[in-house]
Amino acid sequence: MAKKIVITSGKGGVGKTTITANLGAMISDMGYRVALIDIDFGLNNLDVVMGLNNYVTYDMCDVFEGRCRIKQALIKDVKHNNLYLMPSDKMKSASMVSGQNVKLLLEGLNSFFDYIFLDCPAGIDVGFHRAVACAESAIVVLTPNMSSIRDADKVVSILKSYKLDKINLILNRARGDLMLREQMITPKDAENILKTELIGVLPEEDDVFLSCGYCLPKKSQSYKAYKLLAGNIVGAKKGLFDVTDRYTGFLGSIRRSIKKGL
Amino acid sequence: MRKKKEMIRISSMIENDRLYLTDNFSVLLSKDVERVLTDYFDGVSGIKLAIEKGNGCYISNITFNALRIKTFNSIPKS
Repeated sequence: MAKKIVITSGKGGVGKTTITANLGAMISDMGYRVALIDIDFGLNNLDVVMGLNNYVTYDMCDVFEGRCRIKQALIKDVKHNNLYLMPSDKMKSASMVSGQNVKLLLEGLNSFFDYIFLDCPAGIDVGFHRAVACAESAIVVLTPNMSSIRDADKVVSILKSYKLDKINLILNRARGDLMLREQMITPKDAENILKTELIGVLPEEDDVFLSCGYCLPKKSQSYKAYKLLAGNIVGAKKGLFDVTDRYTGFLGSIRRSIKKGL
Repeated sequence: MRKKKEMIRISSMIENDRLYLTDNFSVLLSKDVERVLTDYFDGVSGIKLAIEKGNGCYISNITFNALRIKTFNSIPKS
């Protein structure tokens, strides 16, 4: 039986799709079978982030409308053995798809995978409810700024009404240098404000931008942070990535000064 | 510091979001309270509800008049 986890956020552009892709890659590298479902109809980008947009022949709507079987629409990732993508249709309106459709699709995938991640659209409209209704647990992505935290709080309160097994937070784009200078909200602050458990902290890094957000270099800070996050999700409890670590000590103070100068 | 200011702003913003009272809320609650009170008291009248925002929570005071407590015979004496 697959664990169905929805990756959501209130605010758009906080990194849901990038996190979904990388998390899927990390967990599949651990030996688990992972499926990534792009529920963001109309604004689907998961295939682009994973570099699989040229491999899409069938999509989720073809499955719903009986033009292909579920397995025909699944795309195997080029770089990771146990990772599959279910793309969504960029042409059709989201209103064509019901929550029941998605639920049936997930039931069809249930026995083939250990983890199913749902990339949810931004906002709290129909698309959000369609994705959440099919999930067993949720991860809310936020960045350390006011509007993102406020929206995350609203999303968490809606998610609580769904009685999910777990609701957790991921703090994305955290900057250790700003946290040490007391200019950015820390992971602990975010956890205290939202009264929800944090399972991952991801640093803001050029490597994420340069690699288009997917298949991060193994030496990068983000790679290490994702590895810890993946460990936390599969239940190993690896702890949270310390974004300030790089900016402490003698070398750290030089890095901090350079960043400040930039 | 910037973080301190931001924390104060976020906390108050979120508190306001969480503790948002709609106009109909008091009317609905007092109707429900009246229904529950009449199960326990005879001659319930003059129900007053005062709901205030406290330190991150609601503080509510309910006052009412009643003639007597209803007698219950349903629970057997031990």
